[in-house]
Amino acid sequence: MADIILQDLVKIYGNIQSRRRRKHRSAADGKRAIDGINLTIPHGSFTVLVGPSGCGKTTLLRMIAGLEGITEGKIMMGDIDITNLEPGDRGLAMVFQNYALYPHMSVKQNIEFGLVNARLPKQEIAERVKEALEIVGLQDYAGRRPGQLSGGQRQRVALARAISKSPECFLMDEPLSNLDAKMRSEMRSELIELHEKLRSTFVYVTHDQIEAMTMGSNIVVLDEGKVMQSGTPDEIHNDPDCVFVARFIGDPGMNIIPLPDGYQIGFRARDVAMDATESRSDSVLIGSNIEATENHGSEFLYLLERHGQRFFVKEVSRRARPGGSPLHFCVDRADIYVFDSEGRRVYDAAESERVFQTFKSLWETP
Amino acid sequence: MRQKAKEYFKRLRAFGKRHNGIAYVYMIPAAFGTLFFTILPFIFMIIAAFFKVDLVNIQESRYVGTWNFMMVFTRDNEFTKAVVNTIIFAFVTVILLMFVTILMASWLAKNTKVHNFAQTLIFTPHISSMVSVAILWVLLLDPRGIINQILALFGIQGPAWLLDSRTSLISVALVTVWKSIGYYCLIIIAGLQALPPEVYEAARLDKASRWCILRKITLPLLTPTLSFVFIMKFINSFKAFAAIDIMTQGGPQGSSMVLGYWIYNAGRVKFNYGFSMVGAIVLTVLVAVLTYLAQRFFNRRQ
Repeated sequence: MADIILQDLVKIYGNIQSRRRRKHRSAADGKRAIDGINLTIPHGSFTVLVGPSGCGKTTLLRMIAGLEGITEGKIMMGDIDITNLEPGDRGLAMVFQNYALYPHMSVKQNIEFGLVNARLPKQEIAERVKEALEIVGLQDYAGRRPGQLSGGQRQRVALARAISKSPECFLMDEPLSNLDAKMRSEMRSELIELHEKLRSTFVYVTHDQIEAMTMGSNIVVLDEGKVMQSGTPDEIHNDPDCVFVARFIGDPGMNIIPLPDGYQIGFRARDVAMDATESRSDSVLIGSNIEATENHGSEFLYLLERHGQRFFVKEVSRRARPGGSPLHFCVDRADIYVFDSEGRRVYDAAESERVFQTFKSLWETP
Repeated sequence: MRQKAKEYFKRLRAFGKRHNGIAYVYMIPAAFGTLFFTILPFIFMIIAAFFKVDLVNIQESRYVGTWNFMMVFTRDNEFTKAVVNTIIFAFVTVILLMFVTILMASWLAKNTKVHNFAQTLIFTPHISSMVSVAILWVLLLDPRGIINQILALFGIQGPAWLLDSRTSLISVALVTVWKSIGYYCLIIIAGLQALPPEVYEAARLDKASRWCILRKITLPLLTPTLSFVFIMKFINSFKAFAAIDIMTQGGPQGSSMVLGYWIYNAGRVKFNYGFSMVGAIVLTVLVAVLTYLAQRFFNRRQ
């Protein structure tokens, strides 16, 4: 039972400085795609690496897989240092975004390839292939070529190929992004089931925060090669450490309102009481006009503007309010998040109370 | 076959009708070229094979039936040699070339300064003419030339290369391979670089060794490129002429006589056009049959 431990991991693309010059730590020429990541991926967890494109999540996954060189730092699997091991010797299996099946081999041969290279006995290979195909429900397609399969089926073959190796850990690089919406939600629940069944570690990369929230038991939010926050979906959603995470997670992301003194106030579009009239001491009453409306079927998202700041509120309703009509709503003290000028969450009660009062005095609509 | 042809003409007519006949006008330049430079010479070749052609007084030419064929097939032992040599020459050059280019391409298919420079270097022979390359190699392969002197340094007594009937054909084959390495290497590099990189990453995760990757991943995925290279070089080898003309003129004792040179020799040296047209027909049929077989072989492998 081994956790994957990343220690001070750094990846620099481009001009890597010579050892002698790096000692002086002058400004590096290359781009730091991964910038000093320390992270423990618990054994058996469904860990989702999520972040905007270019944040380094795929690079990080590929470093774990051994497909990308490591500039600095160490990767441990339990007590074993796997930093310099060949990809095939790390006990991992990877599912690629574009499946990366061998186009000239049949489904069966695709799955077998790794097992034959690992020199498993024939009997066992046959059993494993059969079992993997059963798990993904492709028993009848063993003789087909990838070119004769649909996108969803190819993804399943890639999964079966990974399963057949019974790895310690599955690495998945945006495996669902090439599927259509219906197929994607189907595969999403299948992956969750698969994780329940196999009980091995899943490391899953996605840019889609909904995918992250619904699938992960452990979410790691990345930005510019750094870990912004990691935790359970609830922690990430309800207790964001910084403005970046607050904005990135949630549909839509948190409303962030800067105050003149540099502090920032955040609240979620959903955490508002519509049509409030009376003002209480532990809430803020805000009035504005509806600028635009987004129809989400059973709920509506309204874009409002006040003091030059745009923000969203959400209402579960059958009918949309007409555009341009005035809207009063109230946000509870408990639903308001306070961030400092650098975007870090303010946990100090007194400080956060002071900021709340500033916000209330500026924004409360009489 | 006839069914197919009928179908084709039907489609062509339908195409013309759909486009108000203007389509035919656009086809005229290409059709003109094909007619005068491919179809008519081809027909002339077949006709001339049955005549004793006199190019000075074309009216003096007379019909001789299959006499040309009889003579060429039964009496001319240089011709049989030429056919055998052509086939040997084609296979040796193609197989040698494929072997060398695949190795070189898999080494050179990287984008560093050194590799790009090396690519340029091996491409240079392709842009110089066959004639100058051949002359250069005549000097190099001289019994007292540089190559044999270098071999002598290692205590090896080099053969007489072009002057020995045992080595003449293989020497010319080596030179033509040397000249075409760069060109075909470039094609294979292009093919290699078009292969999906993530398949290789998957193979690395699948514990495949380098040899295993080459054999089970690269070669099968590269089959379309390889079949193109094989067939192009194959056809070019059948038509080999300039190198033979300059380096050996088919000798010594017909040991390096190939069909391309035999046709030239029969027609332009011995002024026997009927014979040379027979040779041309044999060459055409050989190329057609062997190309078809090669194509089928590669298609099955895909």
